[in-house]
Amino acid sequence: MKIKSAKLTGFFSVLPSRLFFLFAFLYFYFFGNHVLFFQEKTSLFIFSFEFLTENIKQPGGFLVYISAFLATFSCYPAAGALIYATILWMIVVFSLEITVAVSGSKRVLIPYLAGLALFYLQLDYRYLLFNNTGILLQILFFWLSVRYLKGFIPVLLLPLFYFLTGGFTLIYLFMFSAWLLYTRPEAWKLKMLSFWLIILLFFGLSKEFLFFQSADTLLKYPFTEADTGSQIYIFSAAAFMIAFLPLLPAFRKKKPVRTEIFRLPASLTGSAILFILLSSIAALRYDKKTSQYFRVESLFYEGRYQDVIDYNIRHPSGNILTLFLNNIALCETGRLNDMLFHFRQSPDGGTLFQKWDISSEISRRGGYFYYTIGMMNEARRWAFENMVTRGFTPEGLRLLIKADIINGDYHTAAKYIRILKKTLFYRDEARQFEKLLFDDKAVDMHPELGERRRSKARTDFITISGIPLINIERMLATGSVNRKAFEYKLAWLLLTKDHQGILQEWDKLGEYGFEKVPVHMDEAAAAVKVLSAGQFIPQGDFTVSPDTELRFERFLQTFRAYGNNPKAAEPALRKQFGNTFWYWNFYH
Amino acid sequence: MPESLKNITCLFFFVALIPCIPGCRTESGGDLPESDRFPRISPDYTDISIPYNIAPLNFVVKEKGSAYFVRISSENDTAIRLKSRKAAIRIPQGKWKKLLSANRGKQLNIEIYAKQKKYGWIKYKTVTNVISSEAVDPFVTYRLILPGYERWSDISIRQRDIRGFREWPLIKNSVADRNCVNCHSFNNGRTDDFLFHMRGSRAGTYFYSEGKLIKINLKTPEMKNGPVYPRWHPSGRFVAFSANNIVQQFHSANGNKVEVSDLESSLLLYDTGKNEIMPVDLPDRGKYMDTYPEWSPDGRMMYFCRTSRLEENYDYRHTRYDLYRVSFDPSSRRFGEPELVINASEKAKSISFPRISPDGRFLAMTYHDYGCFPVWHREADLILLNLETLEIINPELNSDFPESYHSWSSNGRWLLFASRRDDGLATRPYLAYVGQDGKSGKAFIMPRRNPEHYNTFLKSYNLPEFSNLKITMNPGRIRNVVTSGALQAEWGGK
Repeated sequence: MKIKSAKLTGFFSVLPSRLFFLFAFLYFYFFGNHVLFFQEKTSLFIFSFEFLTENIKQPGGFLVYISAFLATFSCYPAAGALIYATILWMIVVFSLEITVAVSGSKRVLIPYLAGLALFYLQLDYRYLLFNNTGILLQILFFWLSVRYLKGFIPVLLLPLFYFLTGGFTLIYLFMFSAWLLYTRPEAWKLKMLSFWLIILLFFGLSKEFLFFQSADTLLKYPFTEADTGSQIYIFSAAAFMIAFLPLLPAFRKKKPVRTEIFRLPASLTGSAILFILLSSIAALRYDKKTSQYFRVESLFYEGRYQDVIDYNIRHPSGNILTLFLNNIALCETGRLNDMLFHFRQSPDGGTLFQKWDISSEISRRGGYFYYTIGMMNEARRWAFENMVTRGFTPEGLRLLIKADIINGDYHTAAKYIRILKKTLFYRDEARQFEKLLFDDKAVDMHPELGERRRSKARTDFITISGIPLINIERMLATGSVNRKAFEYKLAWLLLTKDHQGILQEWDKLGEYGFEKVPVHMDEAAAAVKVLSAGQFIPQGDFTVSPDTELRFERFLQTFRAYGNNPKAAEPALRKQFGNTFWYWNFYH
Repeated sequence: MPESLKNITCLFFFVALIPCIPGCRTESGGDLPESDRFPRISPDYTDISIPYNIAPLNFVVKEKGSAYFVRISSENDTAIRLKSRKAAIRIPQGKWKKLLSANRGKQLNIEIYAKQKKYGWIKYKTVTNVISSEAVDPFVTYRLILPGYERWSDISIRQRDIRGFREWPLIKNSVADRNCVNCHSFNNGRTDDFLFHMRGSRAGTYFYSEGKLIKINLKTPEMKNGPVYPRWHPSGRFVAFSANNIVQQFHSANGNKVEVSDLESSLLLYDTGKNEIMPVDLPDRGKYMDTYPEWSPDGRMMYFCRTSRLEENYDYRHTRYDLYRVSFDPSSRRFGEPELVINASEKAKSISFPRISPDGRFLAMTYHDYGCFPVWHREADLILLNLETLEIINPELNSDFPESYHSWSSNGRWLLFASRRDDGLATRPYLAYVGQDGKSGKAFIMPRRNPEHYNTFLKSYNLPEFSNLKITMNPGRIRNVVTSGALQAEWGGK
């Protein structure tokens, strides 16, 4: 009975931390994998000496380096979820260990509160992994300092620790100072003095002689408010709680520890409370729209354009970037002007093209539009500029490689391939690309790259980054028979309700390989034909579909049934014709 | 003989015979099958002239093999013998230095052997180079920047001692709010003066002299455009600049991805002694765009590139620059009448970056189809003008890719320039020997400790410059100057 009781006690005592880990893992795996996806896609870990030296050239660089390494495993959601959950769990567990080390007993409140706060923060996809990794390292180093590193060893190791973790060291500085002040171990005054002297001296040396960084960067890097997802206050609160751990003994418990609450083991009750809190945070923080957007992006990068479209049909979105990618998917599957109005669109064309903007998330994706319409130089430029400002990313490198191979710039492509080969999860793809180098025939036969090479822009002109439509116009004006560019032009004419422009393109459909009139173009033509009492006579091989004319007649009848009142007719028209050019024409 | 002694003797002979067993060696020896061709090595260090004080030319053998043996020799001194299981060959610096020093003016032989599965050891034809008795300036300064379009992130100006492999940063823009640092320029490469521009929130021109760094704002209210391309007057008292309004455009399909043009440009003269900046007062200067100043070694002549001012609907492909020169009187700071030196536009060509050799005999320039920013023009080549005979020389150092940003060594025998020949994208520093007759040898890339460095290094070596001046600036000093106010230059014009 005693053994069973001891086992049970042991089980209950670790239950909360294990519950914490399990919950975090399951959440990131099932609901939060968009966080993992984003962080994996916005960094790239390269197994090379150059990458290492490039990253550890300043204090805190090593923290970013190992975080990039850990984030790379998010390529597999289970691995990523395991890593993120483990880091959070270790923060809690070692915080508990610290409470034992400093106070002689386990004090659960602060460690779990801090863990919950950091879990809350991590649910924002912009909250980068190095934040929690940085905090974990402070906790670990402090725990080692008080448990195992005797004498002045922590003091002597401090400069190295600062070099490794950068601005996060401030947390450790506070923790260790507080611990010295409170516990007053042997030679504590000397330790305190030398502790601060050594760090100030090292900081001064760093500033003056060692590192070409601003003082502000040396103090804070890699910490930035932006990389906490602008959650600076909660982060500060969590950091403060962690830093406060050594002072817990100052708040002695007045009453004996309760081992039972509501006639249940305290840890069981605590676990229940923990579960409720975790669930509340998860429910509160789950961002469905963001999750859906990144699902679309994931499918897009895999080239699963039909799946992108199907997903957006099932989960309609108003997000500009989602719709931008969806329109590319529609174009890639030859249905941009058949299904344009099945999805929300922006009247100013923002869902069709993205204007050049290096400062935002647009820069990561804008190049794909140019890749689709065959302007490889411009696609490359977007990818390159994003790389310059944000560093290597897997998709950025892939786009650079593809654009360079299509352009026949094999030497440059080879460089990027060499880099991609030094990654863990993209090396196989890099090897596939490598087989295409300096082999025009192989490229021409490649299902994706060959087709794009054949249809890419060949006549040169100066691109206008701020007005993408002009680039399409110029491309088509040079005689380029590029169907995708033509589709975008048509889409723009439809969005802007340029009936005249639409009809002027009618006789070019055959030239661009259309076998039938795009649905929305047919709708526009039908409207003109009906309203002009048949005066519009389509040129070329294509005629207006009689079915479409009949549908337009029904549209008009419905409209008239509501006394020609657009407002009154809107619900009915939306229900029956919401995905048509006519509805768009009336109500946008 | 006791059994044990017999065994020991057998063992001894067995061990002694081991080296004779073929296939067990890691270095070659004896009569070997010889290939009838030269080995492929990267970088290409074959058939070149090298300065006797250059760092080891480490290379990679691009031949299949499980082991390699390299023997580097010359007429005097002991040969260097290297064995390697890897194709990357790293030559010991000390031995290399000794060999080259002892063999100035002599031939350098590189014998390469590769051990192949099928044939065993194969010897390739001996690579021969020439060890020039002319030294090269010890330091090369360049800017490292990603060969991009409009954006930048990390930019640094670095100096390298090319007698070895040491490289150090002079300035990294991370110390200056990631401002753009550019247009570094030495005073004749020999003295103690150096300058660079900074563009952004810490904008200014930074002058380094006798260990001191000062920040000067050269742009005055009278100036429409700030000073850009600098050239020090040999006296060190003046710096000529061009003031440019530069635009970048991007090609949709051209292999020359970027087009950089001047919309306006004019020449300026900065008097460092008086802290005055003034226009270079040339007749009818309003009708022209003048840029890229360059001084003759005696400081009495300024060369520059000139084209007509742009009209409203200009075509960048028809904008072509000729080479001009104008006399200069340092005491009065006055310029004479400009005279045409090369009418490149007549031949539907354009000239940029005139650079005169220290002995005043040759002028190196970039020659290309149009415009004034040839580093993105594939057809851009370096040519030399014999200033005595006005003969144009097409040196051997060119490639099918842009060559530009050239710099003469202080003895006028070596030309350092940036070339995109590696991959068509990133510029690399190349050196070439230039003889008394202006003819050049084959160019070779600046050696690195890791011979595979250039294969993965993405950044461009921008504006490589020779110098005899070693500069070290610590971050603290730079930070103090960068964050301080700038000394304002006075307008010395009318």
